[in-house]
Amino acid sequence: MKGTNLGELEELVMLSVGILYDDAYGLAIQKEIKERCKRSITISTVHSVTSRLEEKGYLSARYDGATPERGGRRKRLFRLTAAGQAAIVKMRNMREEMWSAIPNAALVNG
Amino acid sequence: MTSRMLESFCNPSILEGILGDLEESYFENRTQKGKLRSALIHLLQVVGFLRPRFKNRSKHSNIETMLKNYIIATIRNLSKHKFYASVNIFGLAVGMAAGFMILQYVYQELTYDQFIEDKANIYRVQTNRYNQGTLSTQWAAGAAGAGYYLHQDFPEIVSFVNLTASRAQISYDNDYFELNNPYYAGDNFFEFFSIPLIRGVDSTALMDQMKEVLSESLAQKIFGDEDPIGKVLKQNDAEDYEVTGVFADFPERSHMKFDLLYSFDSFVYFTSEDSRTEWNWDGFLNYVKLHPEVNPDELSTKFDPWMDELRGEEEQANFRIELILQPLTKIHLISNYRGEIKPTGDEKTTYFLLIIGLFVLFIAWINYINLTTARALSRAKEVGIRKVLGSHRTQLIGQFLFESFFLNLVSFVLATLFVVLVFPSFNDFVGRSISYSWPDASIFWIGLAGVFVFGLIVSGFYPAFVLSNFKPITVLKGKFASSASGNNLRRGLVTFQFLASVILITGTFVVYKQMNFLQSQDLGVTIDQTMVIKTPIYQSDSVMAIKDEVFKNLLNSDPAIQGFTTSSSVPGRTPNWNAGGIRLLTQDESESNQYRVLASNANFLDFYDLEIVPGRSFDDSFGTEESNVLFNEAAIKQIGFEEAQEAINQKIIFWGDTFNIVGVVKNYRQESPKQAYDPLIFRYFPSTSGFYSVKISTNNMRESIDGMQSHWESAFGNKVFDFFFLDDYYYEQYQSEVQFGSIFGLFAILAILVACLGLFGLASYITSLRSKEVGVRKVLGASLNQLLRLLTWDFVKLVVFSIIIAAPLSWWLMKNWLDDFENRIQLGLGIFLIPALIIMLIAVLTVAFHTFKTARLNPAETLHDE
Repeated sequence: MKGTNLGELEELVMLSVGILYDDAYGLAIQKEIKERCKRSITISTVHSVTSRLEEKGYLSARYDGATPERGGRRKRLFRLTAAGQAAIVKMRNMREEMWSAIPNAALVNG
Repeated sequence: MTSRMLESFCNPSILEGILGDLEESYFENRTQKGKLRSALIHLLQVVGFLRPRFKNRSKHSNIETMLKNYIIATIRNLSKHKFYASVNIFGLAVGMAAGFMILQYVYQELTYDQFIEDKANIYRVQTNRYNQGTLSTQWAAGAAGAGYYLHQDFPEIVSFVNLTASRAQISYDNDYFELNNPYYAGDNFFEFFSIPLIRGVDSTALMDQMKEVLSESLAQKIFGDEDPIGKVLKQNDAEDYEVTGVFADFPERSHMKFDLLYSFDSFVYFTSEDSRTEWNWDGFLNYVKLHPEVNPDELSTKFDPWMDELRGEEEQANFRIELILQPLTKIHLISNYRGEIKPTGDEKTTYFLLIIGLFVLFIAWINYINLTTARALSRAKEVGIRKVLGSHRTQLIGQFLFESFFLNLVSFVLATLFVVLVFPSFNDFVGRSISYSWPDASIFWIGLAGVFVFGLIVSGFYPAFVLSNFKPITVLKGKFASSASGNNLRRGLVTFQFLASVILITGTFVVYKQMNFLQSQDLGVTIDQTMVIKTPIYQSDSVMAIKDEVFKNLLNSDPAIQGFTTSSSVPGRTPNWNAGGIRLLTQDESESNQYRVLASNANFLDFYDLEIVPGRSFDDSFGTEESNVLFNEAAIKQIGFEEAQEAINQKIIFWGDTFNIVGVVKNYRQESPKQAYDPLIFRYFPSTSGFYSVKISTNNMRESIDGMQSHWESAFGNKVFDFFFLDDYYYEQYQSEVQFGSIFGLFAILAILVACLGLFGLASYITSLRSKEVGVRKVLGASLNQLLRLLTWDFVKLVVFSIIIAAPLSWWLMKNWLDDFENRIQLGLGIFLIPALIIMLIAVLTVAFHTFKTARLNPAETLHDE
């Protein structure tokens, strides 16, 4: 594995998977990111990110929940793996540490 | 279909999820955005999935490996032979670029008036007038009665509209504005041409008299951002017209161009109700709309018998009026008659250019074929090895086609680059604004893609089949030599290239000589140092007469002005007065004829240095000149005199009045040296309106113009001061021929350049093949001279052969072009010899460069290997 660093988009996708919990599939993730971050990313990008995260072992996937709108096809549902959870927690901790290291004076006048 | 694409591409473990997402997203979009848009989005999404990450890795793609192999082979091959590759690509690119520009130009010329919805059913009625069975005048316009009665009598004609030109100056709040193209238009004009108004109501804007509709740019100029509807504009200081609408300016590519349209009812109001139906005044453009099922040719055959009935058979026999239907979208190309709305194009020139463009393109393709097949020898071993290693012929063809594709693509990109770079200057060159924007020129881009594909097939397939056809056993034995048939084909192609080049050079030469000939013609009239100003328009003649007097006095008192005159037209301009029914007093009415008429002051002839052959010019002091006329020599001939002298003091009937011929004016070029001398009658009008011609000193141009303007302002106030210099104006008439000549020349040079590139490449290759032979010959004692002759002779033969074929072809083509000129050069032998010599020289120099190099090589070097 080439490093466990998360890219920004990867982080957003993982957080979305966490939020969506039981219904985290490609299109839902795309919508979640659009609503929360006001960022439009294409559906192929979402799939490309999830497949990368699967490779890194941060996401696991299963098939379930076919609907007629999907032409009877099942959703590919994602779940955070233990490693994935650890990775975003680590990310958050790292950020918080860095935030707390900024002296107050640096933030006063922007 | 899209799902199948992804199925074959994507990793099956994630495929179902992707397809499901796509389907769901499509389903959602369809309810919100409509079918077409969601399908488009879907397609883009699918394309988005075609990236390596989603690829099915278990399947090994054959195509991919093959393409990779092709690319590597192609690039290696090209970089190994940089010289051939660049000659090939550059030649192809130049040829393509030239072809593209010409095709685009031709395309533009062929697609005028496309914005008019009903264009397929609209025709203009063009009028030919005959006198005693001979064609006398061809009009773009015609009598108003033509449209009116055609519509009335033929159920095939759904509707018609009339237009007639106006000459007016308008003012608003005492600001004067010059109009370029004001017309009176029938009340159904906007509906007829389905031109929506920006402001106002299409169907009613031109109803009723004293209404007018402005073009957007004119409205902007006069009113700025104000709403012009309901405003009143004064025409010629007299009539008030109400603005009832604004139309968008007509596109450049239309044969129509107006800045203001008055209601036709106003015209009728100022003339008479008869103006709608009369047959004697050819000043009206008639457009008719046919039922979609009607065949226009069939309909036109009914016109002649119908006219016989309408006008009487005798009248029609003596003064036949022929009506011709011109399809709306072709008017720009085919029509160039009296009374066009704006200058039209030229069919012959357009097709000539098309031929040139295709020539250049073909030359470029031929280059490609020649260079590729000539190099077949060096690739023969490669083909042999590939075949031995198990390549199928189809695979080899694929490889060579791919190489062609690659080269063509690179050239195509280069060509597009050339076009974009030189395209602004090309625009100036052809005097048209060519647009390459997508929807406007969509057919052009599709055509371009077509040219690309066609070129690929033409230039790619033959070499691919030749190269893939080699038998490994012969090739690898090393005894391979190019086949005789291949050589013959190559010779044929080179011959064609030179043939085309010779024709182009001869063409350039002829066009250039003809232009020179026209410009060096003795015009018979002096036009230099002359400034021409349009006379102002006043409603009342007496006011005009007073102001005119003031102006003339000012001119008289100005020492910088050497003379002036007033006339209804000036040299370089059609005398817009065309009068029929003119005959000698002794002649019968059926013998009458049409003449152009020019009204002027007494000193017009003096001013322009026109020569009186027998008789005298007008003279103010006689006091009776109003009843006298002058004829030019062509008019004398037309009315029936052999000798000019006989005409002096003969009486003529001109529109019911009797006039006396007092003098004969030597023929001069009133319009342009392109045409024959027109029969012209001069009449004496001391206060004619039209143009002031003023002879000024050219020492200080700026000062002269300023001086004139101040005279103008003291005499006419703020009336528009609209002037031009006559010599510039006169030479503008050759503009299109000069342009044609330069385009011809430019593309001839390009064609020769490309052809020489090909020859250069071919010569360098073939001589290098013969380097061993040259070595042996040298060892055996051949001199440099003999070697040069030997190596060059092959090519010279081809060039001579192509010149022999090209001479009659170019003679025929150029004769065809010259036929349009009444006044033209003779096609002498020199016109063919000089281009032939030029081509020969270029070819010999190109080939000699290589042969010289080869012949100078030390035999030891060429013979020591193997």
